[in-house]
Amino acid sequence: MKHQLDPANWVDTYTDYLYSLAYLKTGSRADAEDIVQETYLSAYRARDGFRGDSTEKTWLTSILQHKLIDFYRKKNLRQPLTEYLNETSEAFQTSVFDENNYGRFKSLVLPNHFSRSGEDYLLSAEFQKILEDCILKMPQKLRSVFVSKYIQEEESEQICKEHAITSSNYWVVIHRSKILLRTCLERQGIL
Amino acid sequence: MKYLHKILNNCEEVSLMALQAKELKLPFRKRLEMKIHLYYCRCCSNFVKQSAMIDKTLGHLVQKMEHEPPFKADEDFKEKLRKEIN
Repeated sequence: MKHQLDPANWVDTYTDYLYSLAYLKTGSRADAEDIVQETYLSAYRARDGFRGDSTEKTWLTSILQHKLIDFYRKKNLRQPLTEYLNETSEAFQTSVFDENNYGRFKSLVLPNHFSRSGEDYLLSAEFQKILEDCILKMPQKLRSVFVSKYIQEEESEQICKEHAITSSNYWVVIHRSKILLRTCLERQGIL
Repeated sequence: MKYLHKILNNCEEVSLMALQAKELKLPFRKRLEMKIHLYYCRCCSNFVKQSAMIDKTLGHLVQKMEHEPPFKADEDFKEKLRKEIN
């Protein structure tokens, strides 16, 4: 079946979705708005080239994705992710791992405390809100890779290409961001 | 002794490997070292459990993104967009 475009309904149907994705990825409401706006304008101009092979939503999302990558590249010109990782590596290590205790995890908040909250709570709206806040609190440099993997569910090869990083640095980002997210959730007394 | 020391006290490497192990095929020796470490280290076994729980909640967020996006764009902004693409 060939899909059709219906630009008159785009704003009502897709804006919150595209905006949520852009906001999680950029961490800025203003940037997210700019990117969504550019996405619609590009899509509108390119509408005659739409061949109907994918759904309207998939098509718009892929245009948004290109805009997000452009945005990310511009933002990272001054300090590429690789450079950021090298410069912050020691600070991260000393904040999370204890040099004086054989490099073991520091007990940041609640040592060896696990899941006081039941699984129902972890899937509740209240918890989801906290999770979103914690993702938004991550350093911008790490968040883009994190969202690509865990929210957009992209393949790791693709993520490395888009962010111009090696596979080993990709894992450094995933590792760090997971630890930061865990710490943020622990601080709220959740995990 | 030095080898045992290395296995038991590298939380940084082990927590990283634990994440990788879900997607990559790690060498047998690495997996073994990881298992030994996890058996003794409560911090790391705790991290692994929490990480799995986090993955589950992220999966839930992905579903939510599709059906009920978590952030709402401003109404004024939407109005501006409607004017631009019609």
